[in-house]
Amino acid sequence: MKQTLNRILYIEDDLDIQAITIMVLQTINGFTLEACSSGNEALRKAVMFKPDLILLDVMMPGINGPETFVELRRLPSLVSTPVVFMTAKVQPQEVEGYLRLGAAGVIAKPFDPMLLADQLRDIWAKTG
Amino acid sequence: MKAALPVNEIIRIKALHDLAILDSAREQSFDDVAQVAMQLCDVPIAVVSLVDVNRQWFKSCIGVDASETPRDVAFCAHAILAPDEVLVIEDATKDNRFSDNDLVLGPPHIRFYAGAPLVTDEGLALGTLCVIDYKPRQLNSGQLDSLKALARQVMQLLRLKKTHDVMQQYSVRMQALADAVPIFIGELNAQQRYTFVNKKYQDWLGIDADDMIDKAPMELLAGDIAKKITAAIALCLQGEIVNIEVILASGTVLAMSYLPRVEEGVEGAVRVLGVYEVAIDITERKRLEQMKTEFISTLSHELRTPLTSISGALGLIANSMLGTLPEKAMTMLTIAYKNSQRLTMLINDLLDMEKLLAGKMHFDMKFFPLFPLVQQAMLENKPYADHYTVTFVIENHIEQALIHIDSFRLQQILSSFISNAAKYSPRGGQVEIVLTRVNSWIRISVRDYGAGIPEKFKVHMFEKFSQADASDTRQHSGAGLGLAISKELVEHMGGRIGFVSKPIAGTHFYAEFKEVFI
Repeated sequence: MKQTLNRILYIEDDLDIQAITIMVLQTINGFTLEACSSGNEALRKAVMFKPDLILLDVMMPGINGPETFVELRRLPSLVSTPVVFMTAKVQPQEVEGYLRLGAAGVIAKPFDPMLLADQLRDIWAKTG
Repeated sequence: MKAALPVNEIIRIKALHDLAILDSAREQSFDDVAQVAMQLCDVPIAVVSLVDVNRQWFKSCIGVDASETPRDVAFCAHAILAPDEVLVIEDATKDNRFSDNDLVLGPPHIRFYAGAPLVTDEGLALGTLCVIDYKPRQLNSGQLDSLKALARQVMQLLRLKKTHDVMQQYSVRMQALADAVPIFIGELNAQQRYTFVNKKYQDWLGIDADDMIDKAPMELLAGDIAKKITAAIALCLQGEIVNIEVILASGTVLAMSYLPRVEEGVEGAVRVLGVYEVAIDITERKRLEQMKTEFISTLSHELRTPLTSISGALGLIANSMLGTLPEKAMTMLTIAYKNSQRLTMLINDLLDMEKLLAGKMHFDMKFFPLFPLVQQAMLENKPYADHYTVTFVIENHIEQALIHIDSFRLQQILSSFISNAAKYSPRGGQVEIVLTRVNSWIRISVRDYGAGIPEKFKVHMFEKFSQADASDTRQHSGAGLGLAISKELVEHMGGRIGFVSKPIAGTHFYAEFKEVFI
């Protein structure tokens, strides 16, 4: 049986949004969260953290979300870790692009803090 | 003796000047007529003379080297006094009018003169076709008739020349106009060959008009563009107006229109003679459109980012996830939270509208059974029912039906109908979602029992940013984009939209889609 979703690697450069997401996922819903402010920080911490799922912003300074995704996929232990993009860039062709890249799901900003945990659990449940 | 002035002298001179013939170059056609007159009458001199204010000017003068003489000595000044007759002077030395004439006393020592007036349709004698001899003589009746006939031919030549000159001027003006406008203009015949191109067109191709006329686009343009243009011309020759866009190697984008050049025949039958081609450089417009799209996309992202923090933080507090707040504080926070959600919806609506208007919205059209989609829409809008304390009811009169739509967009349309109906229903009221067949169409109606739509507002129902009550103190919120977007969405999916509204009896909005059978 598939294990419960617990460890989430979260990458978001906007610290306000990051604070709210930490509040929702860690404080309220009890997930173990590793929050990073950039793609590079995530790449440094990802292997050690061993995430069940990666929640990734798109528009970030330095390497952006999709570039971070590609780099994370190069790490042998993260080859199949589900990645969910959480972004304000959700025009249909943009969403299509994330899914084509291999994202397990896309959550639009502004997200509903009351639904976010369930949305991640649903996506997690659907991944192999 | 100096000739009297004709009674119609002022309008006669005006008619002469209107011909714009005076002081024009020699022309073979006039010389030919004079030559024939000379030979027919067996004289040494023949002249086409036009009698001006103070001179007679020769359009043609065969047998003597002269271009004009003063009017005072002109035999023709006498001839024009009787427009219907040929003036014949057999021996000028014996005629009181001419015996002291300088042209009789001195060179060229005229003795014989016969002048047939050149008469306009209005009866104005502008001059003569005259034959002259150095010795006295007579003309037989055949020669006189021939002279009159040739005079009529000269008049015809003058008329043709005038028409030709007018056409020439018109043509020059049209060419100047065609060259001045900042668009490409071309004309092709039914064989798909250029018959006209303006300067801008020539500049674009870097080819002179002379090298373009009678050539086909395939001979002048690069492969893919030529193919596209040739196909458009072929379609246009079948009578259709065709619009295409082509991108040149330079990056220039042209919007090209092909309009059939038609001739109406008997009983209204229309024949396509060729094609008018008009092209506008829309490179700048395209660039601005692209900038606008990028701007809106960026703006949307930039607006959503702070909104994520605001609505996220407010959502947590308003849902008591971080402890309880005093009641009054909670009321205020709930208002702030709801409005942050409204702002999100408004941004979504603006983006949708922009995409629809730009024709850039993607529709994922598939076949769907309708009923489950309607049930889903009702469930998704349950919060509205709770908020406005109304009940949703589905009346299904069609059992099952398949429609071809984008399910996400249908949900958007139904949400707009259902949320509006909830909003405008009396508290405790009922909102009915009714599925019916109307001929081969499936109609989804959403009915409320509210106050109905004010008569004067009905025509604005599907316009952007329209709200029946747009005052600052209006009872119902919203940007007024929902129905405008719904209309665009329905029509993009091949459907129809409408509403029926009566005071007190309420309103029902409906969308109709063709039923499909697989």
